[in-house]
Amino acid sequence: MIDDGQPTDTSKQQLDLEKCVQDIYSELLAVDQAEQEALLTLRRPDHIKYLHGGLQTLSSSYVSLDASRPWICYWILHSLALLGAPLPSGLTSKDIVAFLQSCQAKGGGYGGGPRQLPHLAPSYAAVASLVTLGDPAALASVDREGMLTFLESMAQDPQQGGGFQVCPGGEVDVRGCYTAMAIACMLGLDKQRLAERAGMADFLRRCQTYEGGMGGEPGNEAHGGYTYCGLAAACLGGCAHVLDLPALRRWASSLQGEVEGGFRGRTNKLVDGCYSFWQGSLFPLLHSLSIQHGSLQSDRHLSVTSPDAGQPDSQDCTPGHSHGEEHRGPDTAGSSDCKVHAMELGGLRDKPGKPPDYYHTCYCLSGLACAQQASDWILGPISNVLKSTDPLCNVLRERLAQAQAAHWRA
Amino acid sequence: MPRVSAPANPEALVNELSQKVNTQKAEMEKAIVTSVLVQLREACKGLETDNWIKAKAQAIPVVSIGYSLQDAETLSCFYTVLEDSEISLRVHHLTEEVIRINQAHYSAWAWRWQCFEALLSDHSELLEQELRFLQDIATLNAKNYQLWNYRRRFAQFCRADHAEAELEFAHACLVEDAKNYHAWAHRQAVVAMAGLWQAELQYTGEVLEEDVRNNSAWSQRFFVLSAQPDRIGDRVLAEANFTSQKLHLVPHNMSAWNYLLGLLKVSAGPANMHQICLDICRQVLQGSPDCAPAKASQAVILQAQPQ
Repeated sequence: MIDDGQPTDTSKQQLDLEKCVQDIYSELLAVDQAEQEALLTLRRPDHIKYLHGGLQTLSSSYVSLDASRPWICYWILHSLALLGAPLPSGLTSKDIVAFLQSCQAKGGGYGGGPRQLPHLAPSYAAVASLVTLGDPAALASVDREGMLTFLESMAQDPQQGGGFQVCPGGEVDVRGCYTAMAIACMLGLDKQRLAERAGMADFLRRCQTYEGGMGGEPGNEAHGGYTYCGLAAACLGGCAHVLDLPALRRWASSLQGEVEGGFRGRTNKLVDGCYSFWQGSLFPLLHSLSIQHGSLQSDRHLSVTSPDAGQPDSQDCTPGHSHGEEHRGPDTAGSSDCKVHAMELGGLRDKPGKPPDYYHTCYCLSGLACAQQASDWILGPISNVLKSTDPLCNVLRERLAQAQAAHWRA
Repeated sequence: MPRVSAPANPEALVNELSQKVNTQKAEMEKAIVTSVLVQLREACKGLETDNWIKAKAQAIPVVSIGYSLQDAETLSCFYTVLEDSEISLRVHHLTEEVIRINQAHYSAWAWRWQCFEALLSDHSELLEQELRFLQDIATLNAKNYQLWNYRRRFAQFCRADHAEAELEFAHACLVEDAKNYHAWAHRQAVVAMAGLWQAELQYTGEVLEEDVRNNSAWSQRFFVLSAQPDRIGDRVLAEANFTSQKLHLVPHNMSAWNYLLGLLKVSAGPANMHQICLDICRQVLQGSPDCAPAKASQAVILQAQPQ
């Protein structure tokens, strides 16, 4: 950052972080290749131990997540799946399914814990967890009809602004749109119909700002998390054409840190590991859309394996192309994930100086997986390779395919 | 009978007495609430739903949070009255206890609103209590979706008379964190409801004086600009001048460049907007010839120019 001799809080914080990250990278560049490989090695055993620890019992300091327990479940299960790691001994899929069952509301949808009201966010997390577990009993435990009823009831009247409410009386924002669409995708429900019911296309269009990114609600500041929700919802709902995609791509590219390599969530804010996924996954999505609309020629054969063939999911993605004019490449985001965001004792974090948590572990790993897929290249030793994640639902591609196959058979 | 003389300072005495009354009133309220909740807890202990028994019987814990026995009982109590769909003052009080345990407990917030709406006409003191409660909770965590959603519902319920208080509250949060997303979004909802556009534009100007790189403030300016259809041409021009001044001060400010390019996209802007923007780029480059965002913006403007 160049502060033009006019320091403000923004520039001071940015320069501090740049210095910190530069020091880490300098350390890396100062050693020989063998040492570099060692430093860039993803510490799998440590991360797996950290993840296993959280899946069973958590201290009382987690009480603020007591209405988000399916989320904790998903962050851990998805992270383990990306690492290709098993469940901890002493815990089976059956136990986890039983827990998620206890969070399922009588009328459909899941709450943040047993006996809580249903809410779209834990509903997404629960369904994604079950898809990740992948066994037939897990998939069968979802009350699909009840869920559809719940999703329909959360759709807002287009005359009143449209979109999806996250729970009765709750907020209406792009997270609602995304979670509704992703749930419908994973459960094989009619996404288009739901999207139309909520006037979703127009709601999303109004969420795009002058910067090119999207805010939580119409008028709000462009933000990485909400942009991911908005673009992914639009892709799933078949209405990505309502967005100014070149503007979105320009904004997303501009948010990659020139020094750090990772992504920031908003203009003039600090980079954070979780945006490696929220922002980083936008590129494969945009790439798929441009292939779909024929504006980008591909020399790879596109294998069409699912009835969702029209949808831009990673099965349509051809890795290896560079995206966008200013985008510095997913590999630089990947190196930032390995080095800057990995903790000494297991788990990944927002940035140096912050403690790790399950949310950041999940999204740093998801971002790294997307970067590996998109660049078709592994930074560090080959053992760093993660499983492929579907950028639209953020579950393993192979698990999503399994879940969708189960619905056609049913 | 001795005569009672008038007190030396009647006003001070009245204040002292009324403070004592308020303290006693608050203590009495608290005592009533406490005894009601104790009664409720006792009542709940006797009631065990099937799910609760099943949940307790589940041998293997999964993402199980180890809260205290008292908290576990409070939560269990709440779920019992929720399943019963009870709407009452005692449940309204109980939701406060639950929210203090976990501020993100959306079920408690949702049910609290149901109670508030249903009971307000018979218990007008709930309005004041609600304001105090919201003030208390925000000081614990200002980045809580549920708190802000509830405040927005509350603001919409109270309508325009209450708008200034809500803006003041959001401002207090922004003093702590000038880019708090929820606070800015809340301001948008309140400003739109009460039509306080000019004041909001002024507010963003003050925030930008503090930190010209605050993207949330720039974004808020665009929100105000695009909300009203009248005299757009003049207002876009005024904004271009404003942006130009800020860019001369800090040429490497992505927020300002994004804003300038955003102004260009406004459909009812001045006819010569492209030229105005190109002039701004040129002027900045005169002072800072290596300014990369100025050059990049020039390129974008030239590409966007109608042929």
